[in-house]
Amino acid sequence: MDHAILAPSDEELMAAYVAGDHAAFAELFRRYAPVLLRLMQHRLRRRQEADDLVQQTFLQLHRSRHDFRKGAALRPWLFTIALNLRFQHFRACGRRRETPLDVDAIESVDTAVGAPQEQFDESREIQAALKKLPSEQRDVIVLHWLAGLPFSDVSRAVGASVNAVKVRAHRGYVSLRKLLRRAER
Amino acid sequence: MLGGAALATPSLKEHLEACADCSVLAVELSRSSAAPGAPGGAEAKLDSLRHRVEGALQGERGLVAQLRSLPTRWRMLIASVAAATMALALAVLSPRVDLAVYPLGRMMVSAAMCAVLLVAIMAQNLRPLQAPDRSRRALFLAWVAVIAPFSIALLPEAKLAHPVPFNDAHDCLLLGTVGGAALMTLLGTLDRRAVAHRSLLVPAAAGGILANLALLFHCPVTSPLHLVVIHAPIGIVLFGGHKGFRAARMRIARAGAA
Repeated sequence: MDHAILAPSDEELMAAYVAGDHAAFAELFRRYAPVLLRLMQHRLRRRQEADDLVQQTFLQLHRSRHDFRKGAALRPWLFTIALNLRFQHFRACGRRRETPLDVDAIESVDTAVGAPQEQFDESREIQAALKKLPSEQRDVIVLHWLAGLPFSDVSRAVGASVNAVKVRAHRGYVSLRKLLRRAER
Repeated sequence: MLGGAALATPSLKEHLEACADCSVLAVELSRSSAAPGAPGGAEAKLDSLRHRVEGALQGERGLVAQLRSLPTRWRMLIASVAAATMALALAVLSPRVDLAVYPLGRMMVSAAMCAVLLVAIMAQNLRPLQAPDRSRRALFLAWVAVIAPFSIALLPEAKLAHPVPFNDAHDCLLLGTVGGAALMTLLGTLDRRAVAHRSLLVPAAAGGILANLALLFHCPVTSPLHLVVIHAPIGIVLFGGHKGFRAARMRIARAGAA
């Protein structure tokens, strides 16, 4: 039998956690911590800061658990918390300008053990190209691609209209492609 | 970098079908992420992060933790009821002596303005993190709340047959500051954000506007000078006090850590 069919959805896990099932929280952490870590690392210099923000994201998930409405999707809910925390972090640090993480730190999470060197290099190129995009475009691309959020959820997470988000994504993808082509040459 | 789940999103598929640039890029990106997964070192780091999160959740106990974990509508209700109780308590226990002769319409308009502003600021302050950020709106409302009492104070003075002398109202600053600080403390308790991420101005503005609302039913002095010098700046006093308190707390925490 397909194991994926038996796996509870994120929303079911969240409902179970709200009802007091701590194992559900552990499973949510397992599913989302790596993605959230990557989301944070795209804009932060130190790994420690990214860890702190992911920790706070899960803490906020716990504190806000009774706000989670039946029928709502967990993924955009959680990513909005993460983005808001990151924004607050930048504001508290007094540096609105982004300071991207160094490539080595990104790779420590993004690349697989035993992955071919070619894939390793491509991932490195994509990360480097992503860092060159304006933050508005990068956030949309990261949420759309990395987190797999539909545009409607991305728009909710970044607080912009769906059309604005689509325009940002399109421009971002075009720029990213150009950057990657330039890197190939 | 990209998981298969991301590529399965219907809106993404739709976009890829419509956009040639992105579809080419999708192939390139998918190729580069064909074998995702966390390396051993990263797994260990995630494990340590999980322990940290579990440790943080262990600390989420007690009354304060329960209060901030309440649904947002409940937190908002608690703050609103507390603010209304403070204002009404002052009005009932120590009503202004000129209540019978003071222009009721003027008082009601001022009170309604303060109340609406107070509810709007508290809603911004208790806004959950899963909602898109509205910090600019909160800041704007806070500034309005800081300025509004000055505007009310500078309105033409209500002419009464027997105005209360300026010196007869010496407890306004104390009562207003205590009431405002109590509301600020409650808002801080209900706030889910980390202390370092909390606004200083927004809760202080809420405290200031509550103080002005409560004093409207208590203080019989109609002199604009009294209102401008004593009532209106309570929000600013609370902001200064809050800032000093937080700085002292940070210094103590840093000294403790060292």
